[in-house]
Amino acid sequence: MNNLIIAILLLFVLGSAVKADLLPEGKKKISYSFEVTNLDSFPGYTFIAYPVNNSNGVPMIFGSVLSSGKSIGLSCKFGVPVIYAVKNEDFDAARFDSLNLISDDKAREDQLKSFVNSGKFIPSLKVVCSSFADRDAKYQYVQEMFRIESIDTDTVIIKSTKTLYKDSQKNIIDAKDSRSGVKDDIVSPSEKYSSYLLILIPVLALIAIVSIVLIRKMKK
Amino acid sequence: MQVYFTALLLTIAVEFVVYYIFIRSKPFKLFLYSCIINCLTHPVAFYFYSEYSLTYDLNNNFNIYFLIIEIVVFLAEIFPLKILLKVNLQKAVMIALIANLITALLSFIF
Repeated sequence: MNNLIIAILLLFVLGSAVKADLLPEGKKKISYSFEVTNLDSFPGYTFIAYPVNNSNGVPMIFGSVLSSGKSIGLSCKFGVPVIYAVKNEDFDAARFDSLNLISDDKAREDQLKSFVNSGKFIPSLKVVCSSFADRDAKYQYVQEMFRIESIDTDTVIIKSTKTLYKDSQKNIIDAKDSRSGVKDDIVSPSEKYSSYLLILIPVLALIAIVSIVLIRKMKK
Repeated sequence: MQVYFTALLLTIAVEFVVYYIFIRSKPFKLFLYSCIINCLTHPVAFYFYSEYSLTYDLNNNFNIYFLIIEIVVFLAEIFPLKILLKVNLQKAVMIALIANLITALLSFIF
């Protein structure tokens, strides 16, 4: 009986420890993704992100070729992805794809690491992210936009340009311009539509009040 | 947007009840006035609240903007109430204060 009580107590203690590791106090889980823009300005280069892990459980490391409009989700665990640029002629796309298809997680991670380290990849920005936000935060998704500014022989300049905060319906509820730190004018179509309503309704209400007052005066 | 309209309808309903408690006549007219007055202030308050709470307080702790906006709404509703309900200024202030106090408290629940 005592053993059973001890086992139950241990379960509670260890359970809470595991839970605390998963979700810090006062925080909630959010989704993070990033997108790199201005890739088309550098047609001679291929851009990849490595190591990319989107698993919240066992680490599953992949490498991703970046393309315009492609958003890459991260679990923000088990390694920080680095954006690399490589000249098209130095990039073996078929081999890279085949390495990503390796089913064994450890083997895939090792071989991708070796592929990147032995190639002529120019490392650039590290995508540091967090998958937690304050529990009361209105946003559920964070999407960071990066822009490739320039490439020299051994240097790639990539800058964060914008951070989009989205609600559970994936409507953009806020957008921060990374350069000026001020709210940007980006709004989702539904937000745009609703902002017109927020102006139209009070205007109609004001017209109604004026009309009522005028009608009353006319009746007198 | 659906959430917003639910909040607007709830505010209209609650404020109508407050108007009716004070006036005790012509419920349909009072409901219409509640619609008009809230359509005048609620969208503007909602816009400013979302704008400020998101832009300057992404941690979403309780912020001062809520209080400021509620006070502005209370003040803005006094004169429409006085005109539409044909009551004196004191009574209009009282109605606006109680109606907005109740709806502000309800916003913490919903």
